[in-house]
Amino acid sequence: MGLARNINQEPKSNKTSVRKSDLKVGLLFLAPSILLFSVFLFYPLVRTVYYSFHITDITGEQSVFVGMENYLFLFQDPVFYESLKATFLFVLYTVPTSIGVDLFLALLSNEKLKGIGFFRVIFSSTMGISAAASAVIWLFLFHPSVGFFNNVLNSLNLPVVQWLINPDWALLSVSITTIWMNLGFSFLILLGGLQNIDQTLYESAAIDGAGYFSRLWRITLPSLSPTLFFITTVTLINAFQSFGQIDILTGGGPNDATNLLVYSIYKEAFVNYHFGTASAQAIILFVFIFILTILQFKFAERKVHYQ
Amino acid sequence: MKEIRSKKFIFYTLLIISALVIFFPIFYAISVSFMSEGDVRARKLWPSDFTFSNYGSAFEQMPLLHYLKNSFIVSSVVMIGQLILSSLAAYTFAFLQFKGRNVLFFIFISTMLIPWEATMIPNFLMVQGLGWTNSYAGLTIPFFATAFGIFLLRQHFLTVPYELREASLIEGLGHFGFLTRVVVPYCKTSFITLGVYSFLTTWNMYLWPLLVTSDDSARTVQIGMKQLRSQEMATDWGGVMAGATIIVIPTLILLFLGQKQLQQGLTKGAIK
Amino acid sequence: MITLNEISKVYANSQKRAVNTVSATIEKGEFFVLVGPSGCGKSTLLRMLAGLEDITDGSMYIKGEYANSLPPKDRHLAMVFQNYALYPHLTVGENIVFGLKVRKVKKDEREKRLKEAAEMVGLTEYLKVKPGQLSGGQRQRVALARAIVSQTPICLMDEPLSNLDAKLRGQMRIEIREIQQRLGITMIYVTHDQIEAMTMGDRIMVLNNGEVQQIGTPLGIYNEPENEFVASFIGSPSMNIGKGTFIDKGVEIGDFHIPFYSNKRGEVKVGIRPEHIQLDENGQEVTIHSVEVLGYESIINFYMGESVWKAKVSSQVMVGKGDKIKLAFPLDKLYYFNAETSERILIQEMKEMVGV
Repeated sequence: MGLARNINQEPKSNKTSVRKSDLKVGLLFLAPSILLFSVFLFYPLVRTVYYSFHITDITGEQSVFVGMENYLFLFQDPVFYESLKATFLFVLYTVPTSIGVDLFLALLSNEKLKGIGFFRVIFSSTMGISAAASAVIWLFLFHPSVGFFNNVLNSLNLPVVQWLINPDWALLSVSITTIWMNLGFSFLILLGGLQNIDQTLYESAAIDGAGYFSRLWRITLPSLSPTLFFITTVTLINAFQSFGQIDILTGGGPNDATNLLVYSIYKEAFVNYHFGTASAQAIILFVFIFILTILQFKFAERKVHYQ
Repeated sequence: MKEIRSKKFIFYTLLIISALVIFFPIFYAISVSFMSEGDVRARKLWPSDFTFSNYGSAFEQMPLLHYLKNSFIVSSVVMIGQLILSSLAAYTFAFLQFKGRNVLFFIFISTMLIPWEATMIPNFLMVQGLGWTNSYAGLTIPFFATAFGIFLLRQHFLTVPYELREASLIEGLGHFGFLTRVVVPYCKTSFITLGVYSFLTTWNMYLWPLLVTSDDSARTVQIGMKQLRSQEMATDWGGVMAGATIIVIPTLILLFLGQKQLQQGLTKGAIK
Repeated sequence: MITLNEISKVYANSQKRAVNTVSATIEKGEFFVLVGPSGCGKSTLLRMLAGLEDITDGSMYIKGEYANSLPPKDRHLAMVFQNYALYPHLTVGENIVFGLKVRKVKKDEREKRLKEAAEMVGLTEYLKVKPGQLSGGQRQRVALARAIVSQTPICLMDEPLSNLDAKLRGQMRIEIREIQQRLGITMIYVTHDQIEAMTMGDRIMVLNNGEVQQIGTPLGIYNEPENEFVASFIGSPSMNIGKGTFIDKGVEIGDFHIPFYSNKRGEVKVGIRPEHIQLDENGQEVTIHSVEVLGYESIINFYMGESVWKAKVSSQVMVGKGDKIKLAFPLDKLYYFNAETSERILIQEMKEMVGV
């Protein structure tokens, strides 16, 4: 009963009286959200910028204006560069892999096979596992002596790996954990996107004699592009914001190998109490995410097929 | 025919392998949670003698029940808060017309672009200043406003036929009445989606509760997990796994119950 | 009961007047129909009556009270929408008494009214069902019942039957009319279907392009249309209207000649309803374009000059394209319209015009 209406096509009356009362009601309804957004989002954002230009004491009260000094310091700080490097590597490891794996699983789960519901439940189950719980489980799996993976390596007479203690492996291990953790959510979204594809497109392709991969390339992926775009953006932003699993798995180490940006901010601010540099890092993070999102949208405008 | 059968075979093989690989960590964790210490050290895959003792020790090692209670209260409060604030805001953007409405909407949506980390330092200092550390207030109030929730609900609100609004106007319903008696029931599924999503994400929150709780009074179960890990580093893995299993049970149940809703609801939001 | 004084409506972003200086008085207990083609402004007018649209100019009085800025709920009216506007999450019974609940009517009273209304529309067995499970006609009755229980003196209906099939429409027309008369409701009914207007209304207002064309009783409008638009809008098939020219001995239109003694020159529009044209051995010969035999009557499409006219005769005519047939055009059934203004010219004027 009734289609989605375009709110801009609705009868716009000259009702100044209605508009005025709408304004009153509207502001009343929006007030709590506006209040909370202002207090806990906009104001703190401004404050972070402020802090990034200052050096403050532990309470954040006394502050000295130092201009760009915090930023300049960061740009020459090798620890910060390690952090950036680790973050970018992490994003590189997790984002494409995540999307690839999740897409693979979604495609598998979209087939009309008996019992497919069971598999869908399994694949989406990681969404119900928090970062902390996942991290603890993988912590155990990665354990050097009683962990499962080293058990397997042992029984195959292969050298054992110090998954979380060896700086060369630590980032990889954290990446694997992260990919596993985020499976459920992306899988569900991609599956939903697949299920929304018009079946008649496949039917006419079947009549044309197109095979599985041909259909995949020509119909599925283009039709899925809005969803893919959405998931990529979300995965990317999530990757930059990873924290919980790092805290539990490695604590940022070994040797800062997994000191991703957010973890670095956390350490600077709440362990070292350097609010100034921490805020500068936070602003840099913000800028990265902002630019990435804009870039994504620009890219999508050209490539995404909207039906 | 043969082609279809071999195709099916391939798919099932892939599905089964994937399922085994992906579910393994969860399966293993649950398995270990029922193992005796000897089994754990012997690196078994399946308990040789099934025991509940790890669960007992998990509850002993830390105030797990208390943490569960805290998590439950915090998640529920945030869920309710988000539902209320989002529906009020979504209603405004879907049914009310006034000058500047679209500008406000744009501003609201833009909040999705601000990563939470860019605000956490001042937020923490503010919460500390307000005396909200180690309290439910500090864990819940900052999260009541959510652009995602507003967006999700608004999409659904827009599908309510305008005639229903007019009919209710004629029958004498004001805005609040229309919202509660017509819009909410009509858009029930989106409310469920948002509710489940809200509860899940709040239950799983890590960084903020870490910052804001320094003692056990309001500590949530995720931070409790961290405690467990630091305490039990080399020894009671059985207990740790039992703790992990307990923590994920509520969210897994919620997920299984609300899965279809969640999937459809989130997809609708994604595809617009 | 309701008085409209020069009511106009202009939308915010447009120059055009959706409704242009409409005036009318609607009597208590009257079944008043607003009829006209799509976009003529009838729905807009109705919505202004309901308070769902603002009035740009003019004044409206409901029961003597100035009502321009009165909100809908204070106007004490009920409205039935084209798409029924039923709440999908409530049962039929709950839908019907929804307005009563909002107005805090007591439970016993609600039940009583529900029972009566349900009986009147024949939905007593469906009260616990949800609207999604009902057919279009049944949903319409729910909407109707909702209006009935409100017991408001005024009821507005916006094309309530246009989504139903023809047979159901016919049935509902009778039912609605009957209920309106039984309860003495002042009914304002919008439709684009002139048959509904003719059969249901005590009085009709014909609208076109936001302007009143004519207000009158159905037969009054049928017999004495005030302009070409009304003449051709009311009546089915439409009145045949063609351009004629004054000649020496009258008006010539196509091959047809109307005998008048006249010294006028220029053009005039002449019209005659298809049902008034008769088969007549002594009539004019015309060439047939096509014939539609409906069983009890036939519609003969024939050439009149450059255009095709229709004649509705009550017999089964078995002729075909190209054949000739003789038709009579009774002089007293002819209508004349000013060629420029399309206004009706009465016989008296006509006689004066032609100097008889």
